Formats: sequence, structure tokens, C-alpha cells
Amino acid sequence: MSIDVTYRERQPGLFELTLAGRLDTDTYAQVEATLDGIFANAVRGIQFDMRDLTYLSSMGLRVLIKTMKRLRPVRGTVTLTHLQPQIHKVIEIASVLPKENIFSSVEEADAYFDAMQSKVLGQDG
Amino acid sequence: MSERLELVLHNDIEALGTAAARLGAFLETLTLPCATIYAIDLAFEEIVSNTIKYGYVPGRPDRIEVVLTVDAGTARMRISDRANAFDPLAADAPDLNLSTEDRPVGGLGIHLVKNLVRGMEYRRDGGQNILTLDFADAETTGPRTGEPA
Repeated sequence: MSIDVTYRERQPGLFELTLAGRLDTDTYAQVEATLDGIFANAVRGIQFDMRDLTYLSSMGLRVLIKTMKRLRPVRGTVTLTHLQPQIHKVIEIASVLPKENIFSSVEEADAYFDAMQSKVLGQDG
Repeated sequence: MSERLELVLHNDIEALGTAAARLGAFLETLTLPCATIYAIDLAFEEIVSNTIKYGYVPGRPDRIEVVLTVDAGTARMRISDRANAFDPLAADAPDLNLSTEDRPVGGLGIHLVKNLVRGMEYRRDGGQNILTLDFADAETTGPRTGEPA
């Protein structure tokens, strides 16, 4: 039972977090620790790449919900890409995040992030 | 053909990881559809972790028994423990209408299980919680073999 977690800042403030393996009771703390490290930066968005994530339980949903809560004050965005069918189903059942935040390609997720950010900047300006 | 796995674990989270690995290895040997395997895996984690965290008194050693039987076409898991009485079928559903940011971070596990199993039955018997979970029909969701053309 394990998970591999890697991340990179793909655009200023937009961090892509790649999860491979299982996100469950055993592994969620590892992902939360990585997120703590990311949130030491000025974060505007977290993009979870889930193409190699094979399993997600309620502890994984908890990680997603916490991430959304942390991004709320800066009106940041959580996006998910490349969900395997069972993972998609679990996220749908829990209705954790709206369909608009789930993408089959990084390009679409980026476009959504850009659109949301210009909205935030527009409101600030 | 019938396959059976029995697991007895202590009520600590470390033991849950070890037992989940054994369950995973067992499930890999079966020819069940991915969705059924996922549902069994998830139900095991959610129900057992719930019992460990909220059913038993933390730090007081006790045990949880899990029996999984897979017969042609059916998968059934029975989870029994001696923890405080808890009927997951009577548990309040989480409020899914709240926006994610306003929701409590917990409480989704039982909701997921209810939505991924075909049937669920609870009884309290002789100081035990006995939960029986039935999973989607392996024959109707998996590839069919031996059917007349």
C-alpha cells in the first residue's frame, strides 16, 4: 500500500501534484505533508494529476476538501485531470467538487485555471 | 467455485493497512470486475477504519473479524466486532448540498459504501455488530463465459 507524490509549479502559483498508487487511510498523511510544503508558497491553484491513481477512499476525499478550503481565501482553484473511472465515480457520489473542475486534459484544466484567475484579478482591479 | 478469505485484525490503524494489503492480494487472484473489486476494497477500509476510530475505545485492544466469500456470481463480506453498537444504515447522510468549502471534512465514508454495494444488512447480536455487505453480481457485470451462442 503506497503512493508516490511529485509536484512542480507549472505556472506562477499553479502547482501540479501527481499522485500514483493509492490515496487512503495509510497514505493520506503523506499527501497532506506534501501539500503543507506547497502551501508555504503563494498558491493560486492545485492541479491533481490522477492518471496513475488507482484507489481513493474517503480519506482521499478529505485531502481534496481540505485543499479546497485552503484555497478559498485566495479564491484559488482545485482541478483534477485524468481520473480513472472508479475514482470519478467516488468523487461523483460524494459530490465533492463540481463537474467544471474535472478535466480529461491538462490544457483544459489550465484554461479553466486561467479563466478563474482573470475573474479574480478582474474583481480585484 | 467458491473462494473465501478470513481476516482477524486488532483495532489499530496499522493493522488496517496490513489487512488491506492481504485483502488486495486476495482480490487480485479473483476474476471479478474492477468495479466490484473497488467496492469491496473501499467498503473494507471505510467500515473497519470507522470501527477502529469511533467504535472501540482507543488504546484498548480488541478485534475485528472479516469474512469475504466469493461464489459464482456473488461476493459477500461480513464484518463483525464487539465495539459500541453502530448501525451504518441508520447513520445520517452527509449534507451534499453544502458547498465543499462549508462541509465538514469527514463523514463521507459510510455514504460511499452505501452507494457502492448492492445490499447491506446490520444486526446487533450477542454484543456484536454484524454487518453483511453484498456486492454487484460478478456474472452480470463481468465478461460472460460458457454462454450458448
